[in-house]
Parts: sequence; C-alpha cells; structure tokens
Amino acid sequence: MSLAQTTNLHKRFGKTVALEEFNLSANIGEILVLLGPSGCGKTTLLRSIAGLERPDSGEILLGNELVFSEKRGVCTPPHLRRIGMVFQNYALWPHLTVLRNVSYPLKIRRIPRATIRRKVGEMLSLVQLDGLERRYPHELSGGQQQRVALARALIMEPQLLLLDEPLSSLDAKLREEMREELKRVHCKTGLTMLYVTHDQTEAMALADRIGVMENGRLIQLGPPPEIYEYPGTEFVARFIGTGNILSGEVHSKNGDAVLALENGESVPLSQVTLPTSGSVLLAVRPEEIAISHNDRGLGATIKSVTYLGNAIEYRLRAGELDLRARTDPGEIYSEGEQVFVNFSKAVPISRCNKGSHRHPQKRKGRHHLLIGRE
Amino acid sequence: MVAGVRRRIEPRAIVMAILLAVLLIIVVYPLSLLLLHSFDIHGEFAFAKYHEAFAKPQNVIALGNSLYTSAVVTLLTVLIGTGMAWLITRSDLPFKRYFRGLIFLTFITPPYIGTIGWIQLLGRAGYLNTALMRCFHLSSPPIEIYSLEGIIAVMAIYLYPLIFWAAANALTRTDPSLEDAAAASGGTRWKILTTITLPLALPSILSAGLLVFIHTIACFSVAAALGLPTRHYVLATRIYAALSHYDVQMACVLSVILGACSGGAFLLHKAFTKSGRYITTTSGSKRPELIKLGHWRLPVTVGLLSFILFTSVLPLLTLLSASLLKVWGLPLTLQNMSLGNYLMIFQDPLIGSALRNSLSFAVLAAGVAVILSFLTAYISTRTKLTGRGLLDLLVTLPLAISGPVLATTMILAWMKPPLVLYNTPWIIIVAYVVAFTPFAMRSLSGPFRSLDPSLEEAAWLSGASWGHGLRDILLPLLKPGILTSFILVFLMGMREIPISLMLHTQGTETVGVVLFSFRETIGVEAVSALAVIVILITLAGHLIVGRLSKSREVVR
Repeated sequence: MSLAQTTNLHKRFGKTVALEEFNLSANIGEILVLLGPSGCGKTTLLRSIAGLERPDSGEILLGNELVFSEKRGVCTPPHLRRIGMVFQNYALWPHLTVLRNVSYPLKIRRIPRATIRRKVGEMLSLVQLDGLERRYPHELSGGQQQRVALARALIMEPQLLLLDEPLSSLDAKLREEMREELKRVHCKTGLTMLYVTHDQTEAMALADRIGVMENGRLIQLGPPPEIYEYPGTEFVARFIGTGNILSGEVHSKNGDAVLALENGESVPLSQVTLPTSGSVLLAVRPEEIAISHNDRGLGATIKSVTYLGNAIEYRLRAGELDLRARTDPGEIYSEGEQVFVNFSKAVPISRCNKGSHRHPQKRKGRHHLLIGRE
Repeated sequence: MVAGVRRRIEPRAIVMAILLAVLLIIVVYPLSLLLLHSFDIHGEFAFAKYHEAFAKPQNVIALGNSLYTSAVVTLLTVLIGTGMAWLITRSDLPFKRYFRGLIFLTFITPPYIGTIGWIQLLGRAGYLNTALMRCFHLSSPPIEIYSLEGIIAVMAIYLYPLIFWAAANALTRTDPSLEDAAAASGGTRWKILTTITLPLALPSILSAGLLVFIHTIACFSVAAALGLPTRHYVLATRIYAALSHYDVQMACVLSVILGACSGGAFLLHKAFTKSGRYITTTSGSKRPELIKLGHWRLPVTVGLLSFILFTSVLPLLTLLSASLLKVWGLPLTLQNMSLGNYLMIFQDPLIGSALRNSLSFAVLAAGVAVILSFLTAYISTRTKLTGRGLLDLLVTLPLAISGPVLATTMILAWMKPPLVLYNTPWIIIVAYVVAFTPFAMRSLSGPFRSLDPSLEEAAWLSGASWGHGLRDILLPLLKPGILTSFILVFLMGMREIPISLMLHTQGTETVGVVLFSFRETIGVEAVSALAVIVILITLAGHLIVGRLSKSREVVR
C-alpha cells in the first residue's frame, strides 16, 4: 500500500531541470532513500512533497488525499499536509527552548497543556534528551540539536517523515550513531520515511529501498542489495560502488566468448551467459577483480597501493583502461609490478540513462556473468 | 478516494496585491502626475515649459552648480573616506575605537544642524572668522561660508562617513590571504594596495560614492542655508523658489531634471551594489596583518585627530555653548550662561507644537514605513510571486527622489480631489512614508537575508499557517532588526526639513521647519538649544540601535 505517490512531476528552475517525469511511490512503513549527487533534484522532490516548493506539473498523493495537482489547481499548503521534516541545518528556532521547540507543533494545534507535557516527555525520552528541556538550541551539541529536530518532527505523529540530508553536518562517528538512532526510532514508530542523501553508505545502511536519481530523474529503484549488485546504468554503477566500467564487444573465439575492449585488447570470458552479443557495457566492482601472476587474464601494471587496514586498494592500468581493485590484505603487490587481472563477476549495464526499473527476478542468472576464470 | 480538492487563495498574493495598490497610489500616481504636468501646456503635450526653464540663466547655472557641488563632494568624500578606512582597518594607527566613535558622531549629526554650528563658527561674525581677523589684522572675514565652496565643505564633512563605513567594511571583509598571496608572489606594499586591496573594495566604495552624489544633489537644507543668502542656487533651492512663487509647473520641470540626474546615479548605484555583493569574504577567522606606519605614525595620528575633532566636535561644541549663552556673541563666561534657552523651548508654543508634530509624524511614518518594508522584504526574499520585482523597485525608487521633488509630487497629487490632503498633516506623513521606506527596507533586508528560510518552513511543517509562522517565528527573531529600522526612520523624520518646509501649513510646523526658519522666528540661542535636543534624541536613538544589534548577535 502506498503512502506517498508522485505522478509525472516536473519542476524547472529557470533553465535547470530539477524534476522530470518523476514517478515514485513510497510504501507504508518503509524507509525509502533517495540517493544522488548534489543538484540531482532530490531535495526539490522532498520540498515538493512537503509543499515548500510548487512543481510545474504533475500530481502528488499523500495517503488518499491529493495534495498537489497542477491540472486541478490543487496545492495544499504545508501546514495542512501532516508531514514531519528534519532539515539539513535542523532549523531549530534559536529563540525558543528545547521544550518549546518540541511542543510547538502541539501548541499550534491547541492540544491541552497536560497532554502536551506528557507527549513532550515521551518524545524527549524516545530521542534520549531527557533533562535538556530548558536549554536553548545554541547550548546543545550537533547531535543533540539533531535529536531535537527529530523530536519536533515526530511529536505530531505525521503520516510521513521527510529527512533532508540530516546527518551531513555531523562528524563521522556521530553520523553512524545517529543512523542507528534513526533505525531504532523507525522500529518503534513504524513511520514511513523519505530520506535524501548523497552518501551511498548511509543509503545502504538505512534503506528498505533506494531510489537513485540523476538530473531530475529516477534512474533505478530497488532494495539496497539489488542496487549494489545490479546497477542499471553506468551512472548508478559509478555512484554506488565506484565501479569499474568496461566497454567493448563480445566475440566468440574457439567456442569461448571474448570481450574485446575498445583499446583493442581482449579479455577471455570462459563461462558465458551473455544475453546479447555485440557492444556491451560491463560493471565490475573493485572487490570482484582478482590480481595474480599466473599469466591468464588481462595484463596490467600496478599504479598505486593504498593500505586500508581490512583491505588493500590497488589502482591498475591495463592498456588505456584504469581499474580499481580491492583485495584481502593477505596478498601484497607493489607499485610498478606487472600483474594479470581477472574479473570474477561482471554485470551488463544500460548505456542510456533513462530510468528503467527492472525487477530482480527477471535479471537473476541472466545478467550475472562469469568472465574468465573463477 | 481523492479528497480535499479545493482551490485556496494564497494569502501572500493578497498581501502583495494590497502593497502594490498602496504603492501605486502613494508613489506611482504622484510621480506620473509630476511628469505629465511638466509637459502639459493647456491640455496639450509640449516642451514649452522646458524651453522656458532653460531660457532662464539662473536655472542653467543652478543645474551646473548642482552637478559641480555633487561631483566635488563625491570626489572629496571618496578620498577622505577611503583613506581613513584604510588607516583605521589596515594600519597600526592608535586609538582606532575613538576614531571610529568620532566618525560615527559626524555620521549621525544631521547636516543642517552641523551647518548651524558652522555658521556660528565661520559666518561673517563667526568665532573663527573674527579670531582670524584679530590674529592677522584683516579688515574683512577671510573665510566665506556662504558660497558653493562652503556648501561643498559642509556636505563633504557630513557625508564622508558613508564612504568610510562602506570602505572599512569592504576592507575588513576581503580575504587577507589574497593579499598574502600577492605578497608571496613578490608584490610590494604599494603594488598590493593598488592592484589587490583597493580594486577588491572598489565596487563597494563606488556604490557608496554614488549614494553621496545622490544625497548631495538632493540636499536642500544645507544648500539653502549657505547658498540663498548670497544667491548661489542649486536645483533643489530653485524648486523651492519656484514653489514659493506658486509656479508649480516650473517646480515640476526642475524636479524632472533633478530626478533625471539622481535617477541616473541611482541606477549606477544599483549596478555597483550588485557587482560588489560577490566580493570574496572571509569567515572572519583571520585578521589581516597591520601595516606599520613607522615614523609616520605620530604625524598621521595628530593630523587625523585634529581633522576629526575640528569637523565633528567643534561645531557641536559651538552649538552647545550658543545654546547656553543668554545672548549670542557674549564672551563664553559662566555669568553669561543659563539654561534659559532650554526652558524657553518648552514654553514656546511654536516649538512645543513643532516638537509634538515631528514626534507624531515621525512615529506614524516610521510605523507605516517599517510595515511596508517588512512585507516587501518578505515577499521579495521569501516568495516567488510574479510581480515581486516590481514591488521591490517601487519601494526603493523614492531613494532617487529628493525631498523638494517629492514635496512637489505630493502637492500635485493631493491638492485636488479625489483625495485632498493638502493643508492637513497627512500630506506630510504620506511624504515621509514614501521618502523613508527605502531606508527602512535597507536596514531590514540585512537581518532578513541572514535568517534561514528553513526556520519558517519548519514552522509550517509543524502545522503553523503562514500568519502563525510570521507571528511565532519570524517576528520574534526579527524584532531587533525591526526596532532598529523603526528607530532609524523615526530619527530621519525628527530632523526632516525640505518636505515639511514645502508641505507644512499653520499648525503643522515641524522641528525641521522651526530649525530652518530660526532667523525669523526663535533666534540663534533658542535654535541652538533645539539643535542640541535633536542631537541628543539622535544619540539616544543610536545607542538603542547599538544595543539591539548586540542582542541580535546573541540570538545567533
């Protein structure tokens, strides 16, 4: 059952397209993360749903209420949409205490004082802020301010919670902590959340489903593993996993398939399950590249070695192709060494960036390639 | 299934429509009447009156004088203001705080009140002139203040602080690392100053310079006080003369010419302000290294101190002593002094009613101006309504309309039905509102811009309607800014001269009218006392404003 639905949403700012043919539907109770680089329109989408921005055309449905429709001339103002929002900069009111910040949504609804007091107490203990009622926002740490903003957005029991890069101004450690906190709050409240971020780790960690956005379009929508394993386009592959993209043509050679790269070199593909022959684009993750000395695969030179503790990252050059590989710290190659690389797994991706949400069932097995040796 | 399909009327659009209607009535209507009337010869469009205006040599000379004085004042103030700003922000000059304080004192002294002080010093029987005559055994006073040069000097003294603030701000805002980079690449100190520091500050300085030009060309009171006795006319005083001879059409023609001059400068000013806004700014963490003046330090300090003391403190001291003297001209001894002039002010029916009038007009005008500019600033910065650009333009346009011109438009608009305000206090109040709203707007737009729009959006998402968000979030947070803007406009109203002078009638005289016509009415001693009171009110107002801006920092 969908809680929030956008249909053919369009929005331009001057000549910049912020949203184009945007269709999205958030299910009740899920955390839907919109992931994309800055300027891809994800904040515009959030603000359009909240009613802070007016799209040029399209429709927005919240629950079973039409809150925006250009055709019908409907645009419900934000205060009647029953939506909670956590802003990137928290937007806490500096002249009000924590108590008055959090209780404001109830006060404006003329809820009896005793109820307000009880609910604020509950909410502050939910976000673990008991005892800070009398503080002013500037007397709080970044993490505490974040919790106040969350409490303020939750207290009126909204049907939908929007979060606009809420963790981006926190340091790495706090960010992780708050991420867990958000998950906990989501568990307790079962609230539908629409979460915007440009950080793919954050998206992976939080999301029930991820929608990847580029230039105002939704390119791919699916659960995190699917997005990670089967990126639909080159853009998604690069954005999600800093993937290696191989472009070339598939040939048949002595019964075995070979991928002829654009620079003329070729990679043997032993177990071929390619759906198409001819020109393809393949995504290979850094951890799916194996490095060895055993004379098989693609010849490459190690350009740099970065020790990451739990792994080692190599930058390699094979002909005109730059590759990134990540291996266990066990095997160590040094800079300048001649090696051979093999791809343990590769996924064909679409060349065009137009959004297409394929279903995982359809893809399984078909698109999963094994190239070269195991 | 789909509920809540209902068209809502945007409350902000209604507010904008009302604002536009008000501005059409009080700004556009009078201005277009002025333009039309200047071309109207017995109901037909003609240039006859313009020919007549330019046929009179006094008018041509007045135009020349206006342009000449304004250009020279602009040049002088840019040189003085920028020089001082550089010394105070970038060199190791001592007592900077006190220098800033004294410049601020000059800044807030109303030029006309300063002029009264200067006349007492440099008039034919002025203290300084007589002292010079005695010293050098001269037969006639060596300095003639009733001249174009006198006007230029006085205007320059009271307007250079404008350049000073602009330049000082620009110089402290520019990133010192840009200069460090130039120094690292081998630039000499002079090279850096002329190729990096000044060019970066230039747009701000030029935009302030054009403001000085607009102020000077519009300034009526100083030009009248120092020019009229020796028949040195500028455009502003010619308009006044035309109105006193009931030649309203001539006043219109001259107003159009004056309006064209200041309007041109205004457009340039806007362009420069825009280009100056994107100046590289620092986060304020790093302060530029101060340049050592070396053996120049002492002479520069002494020179600057005596200049500032002479220009800002001396005329005020003169006024103060004159206000205490029983009869002006007596030696300054305790026996000759009393508080009689002050007592008289509070008993004199004319001054009393003038004070009451000014107070109430200024309060009313400030209130309306602040409301107008608050709503305009809101609509132009926080909404995307079509027409907000026009609104912004209409509110700031009167910045380019000088007092005498504005008064002329008001007479044209409100002398005849449908709405007759002439001969009532309301014509003065409406004129004040038109004249001061741009200033209210300017002091409000800063706080407005620095307030994150998401604070208000958070209120809406919490369930607050637009009005509630305004009441609970925006107004409390902007209170210091609003009060500041109210006080500044109120102070402008308290000392306003040309508008009240041309629009007043018996019973609606203001402080400005009394100050201007003191020779015929209350005399030098009483006017000095009144001037001191006006300065005290001004000082008090600015002290409150200073407090408010401090409290604003605490909130953030």
